[in-house]
Amino acid sequence: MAQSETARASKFSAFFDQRTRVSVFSAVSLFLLVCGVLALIAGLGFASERLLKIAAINIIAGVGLGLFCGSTGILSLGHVVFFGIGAYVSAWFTIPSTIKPILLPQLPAPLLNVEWPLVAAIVPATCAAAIVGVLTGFVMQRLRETSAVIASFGFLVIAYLLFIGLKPLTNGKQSLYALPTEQVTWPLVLGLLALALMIAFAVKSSRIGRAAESFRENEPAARSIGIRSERPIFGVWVVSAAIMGAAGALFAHSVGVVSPSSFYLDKTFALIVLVIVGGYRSLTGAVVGAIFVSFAEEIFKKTEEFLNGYSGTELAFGFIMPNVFGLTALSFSLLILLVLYYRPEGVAGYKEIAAHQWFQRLFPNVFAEKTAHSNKPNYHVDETAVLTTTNLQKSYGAFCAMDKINLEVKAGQIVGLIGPNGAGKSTFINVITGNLFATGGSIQLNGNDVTLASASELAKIGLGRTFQNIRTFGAMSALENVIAAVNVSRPDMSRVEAEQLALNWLAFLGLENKYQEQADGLAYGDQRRLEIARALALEPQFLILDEPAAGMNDQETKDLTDLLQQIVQRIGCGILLVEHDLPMVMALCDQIYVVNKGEQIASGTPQEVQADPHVIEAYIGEEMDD
Amino acid sequence: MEQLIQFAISVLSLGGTYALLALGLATVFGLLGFLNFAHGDLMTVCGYGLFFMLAAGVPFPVAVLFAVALAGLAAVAMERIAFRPLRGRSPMSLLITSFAISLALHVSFQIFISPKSKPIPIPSYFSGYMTFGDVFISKAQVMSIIISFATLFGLNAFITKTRIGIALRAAASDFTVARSMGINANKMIMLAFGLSGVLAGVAAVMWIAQRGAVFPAMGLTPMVKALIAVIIGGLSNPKGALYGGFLLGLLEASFLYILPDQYVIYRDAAVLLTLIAFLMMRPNGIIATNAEPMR
Repeated sequence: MAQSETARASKFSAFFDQRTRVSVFSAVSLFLLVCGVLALIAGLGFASERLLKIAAINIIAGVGLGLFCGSTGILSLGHVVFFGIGAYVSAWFTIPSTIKPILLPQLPAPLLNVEWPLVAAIVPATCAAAIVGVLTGFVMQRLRETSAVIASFGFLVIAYLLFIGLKPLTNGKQSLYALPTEQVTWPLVLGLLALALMIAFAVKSSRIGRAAESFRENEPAARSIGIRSERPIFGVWVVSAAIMGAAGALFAHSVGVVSPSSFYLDKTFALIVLVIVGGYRSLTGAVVGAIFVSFAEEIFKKTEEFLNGYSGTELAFGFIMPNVFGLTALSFSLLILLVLYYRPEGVAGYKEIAAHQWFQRLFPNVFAEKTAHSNKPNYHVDETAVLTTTNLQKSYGAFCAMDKINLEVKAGQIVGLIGPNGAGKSTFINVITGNLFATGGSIQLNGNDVTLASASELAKIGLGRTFQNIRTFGAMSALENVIAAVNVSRPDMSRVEAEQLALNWLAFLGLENKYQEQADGLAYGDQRRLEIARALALEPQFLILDEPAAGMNDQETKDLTDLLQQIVQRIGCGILLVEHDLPMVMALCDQIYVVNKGEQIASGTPQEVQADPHVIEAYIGEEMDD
Repeated sequence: MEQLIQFAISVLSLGGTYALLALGLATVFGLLGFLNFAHGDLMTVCGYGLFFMLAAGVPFPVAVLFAVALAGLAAVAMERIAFRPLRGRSPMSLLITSFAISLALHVSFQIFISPKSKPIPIPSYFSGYMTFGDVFISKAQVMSIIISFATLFGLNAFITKTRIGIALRAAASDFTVARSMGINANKMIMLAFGLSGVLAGVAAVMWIAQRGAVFPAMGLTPMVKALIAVIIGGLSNPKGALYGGFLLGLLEASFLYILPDQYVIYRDAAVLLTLIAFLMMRPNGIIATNAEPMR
């Protein structure tokens, strides 16, 4: 690379982190793509101007829904609620004051007399959608997977019933009409589309968006680095609700009528089709899907009209052509099945458009490779740090899974916890990492009681951990895995600095060259290292490793041993190692605790433990029995 | 006193219907991990079966048996055609698929049968009122209590006494382990779908007996409520579906009594809202495994 190019490249990466660059370029190119497609179709004369506007509005709605579904991995069947709220609320403000008293005589007096332009009415519409988003968000943030989907569906049904029932506000099934359609202008539609794309990408690349993604990828791992899933889900839900509200206001005015049935199953299904066909993980998918759905819908309608020209006539064998009117829904159902069978990630896939290599090659200056500035850890643990458990106990009713565990880990020490299968090791690790709560005894970190601290609280005050079954954020890059943790340990850091620090951590673990690779595509050993890098990026005083050598061959185990010694030497943190691999524990640990049948049966240096008759009986003895 | 008896009967008859629906949903969930959105359309299938059989002059009890069996067959067919090719995919894909199927069925009923509702003549032993002293009791409600409880006991006997029923229970509690014990996966899944279809069919008969008509979207409202009832009960345990179903019946009957007549339109909204509020307090349902287990 020429000197000047390097300079320019570093200038870009000095101001913007990778995620920001990808987001900005994706937003701009998607906007241009939409404009291009609309212009092309308009130029060819395939569709009316009104249809093109509705298509653009569908894209805004798609961005709103795609933001939530993509970031959290939860499919929402309730987003049409916000769309409908936006439509009704904007209509209250824009319907001519001559007609309003006829449609909605019971509307509060101040509202009856106003006649706002659409541009202004979008503001209360968006706010109303956001407010309802906040109320429903309190429920959504607590629910997961199926429960979340069904609850969002519940919202849809409730809203539909209320749209029909609250006649003073909605005129029920008689619907609202006389909305000023001429006010839906291209600058307004495209302006809002640009705004929606900007907001959606901004949220996606923000800390909240990243936290939501880590939750989507792996909730226990997200909690282990201090991310509580409630807030990100709530935040993304509210923002996407607001976008839907704005889209709803535009939609109502481009159609001119607001009726409850426009905001129910058919619209919901059209939105689902859009995100699934396009690809629900990325906003690119939502936009591509929305373009596709809008025009497919029109083609189906045209076909339907064509077929209905023959309705009532006998085709063959006495079969009379029925009146066809649900072709769109039928075709979309089929389409969804086909996409789910053959391309579950959607037409546009998981990645944003600017995250693809072919795209980045077009702008080599912007998307230049990054290098680590240092491969040294950026913090050191105070020598006085100490983690202790006192008579720690966990029982389920009468069954005691673990009792009287007294253990101490000091800064700079590697401490091993061993025991045969079923000894209570897993229970212990779940209790000390805040995933289960002790029923007796206490855990102290530097003299502070942390017995009842949750996993995410512990992560913030100095405990990092890895998992027995690797839990990386699979669909995120190695770099982003670590950034998620850096965002927690260094909340004040700028994005560029956070990215650089994460890269340095990867360099410390020897993963520098793989920073762009997707985590679940890494080799097994590298995934283990990535987990450790992510845990270290929390800058913990103590690192708890759950069977890190499981599934490793001799060479890998030796590398791991060296790595752990290096970590302790250079950072000064304490390591608690829960392991099966006896030789490794004996070689590595300063102090060893042995548990069996839920109780601590021995402790001491490796030599002492090896000589202890209880240990030989419980551990070695049993191993020979196997 | 009369009011109390009437109230109790409403609760039991509504609760019984919802419990059957919820159990059907939970049975499939136990095996495949997704809630079948097309479950309500099985009710509609049963309704149309009943309509056409009665129109052909078949006596009511025979028509009912046929219609319920038809719902069971429809469920099995649904699994073979739409869900089996997606075996092993994420529950979310299956859920979306079921949503698509539901809409496709819905539209098909509109196109090929009629978008308008079809009347179903209900025999006298199933409609009207009877009196016990001062108490007026709807026969349809009494019949639905009898039928739903008979079905529940029959189901209980099936899954505790018969070999194949026990196998199904084992599969629902841990499918992986059950398969490693030599239980045939395809057979179990077919059985689960068939059973869920039959339960939906029985529920449909009771639903129709009180309303006297079938229309394309008939199954939607009861299904939405049953879906939430299943989650309220707790997805980890089929007993949860029973609790959820009866809790839903209790709620709905209560709102029917509490809300003055002019607000009756809000009843379903109020019921759903209460259920969702409940979900907020206990996100894992009534029967929840304590804490969040580490997997």
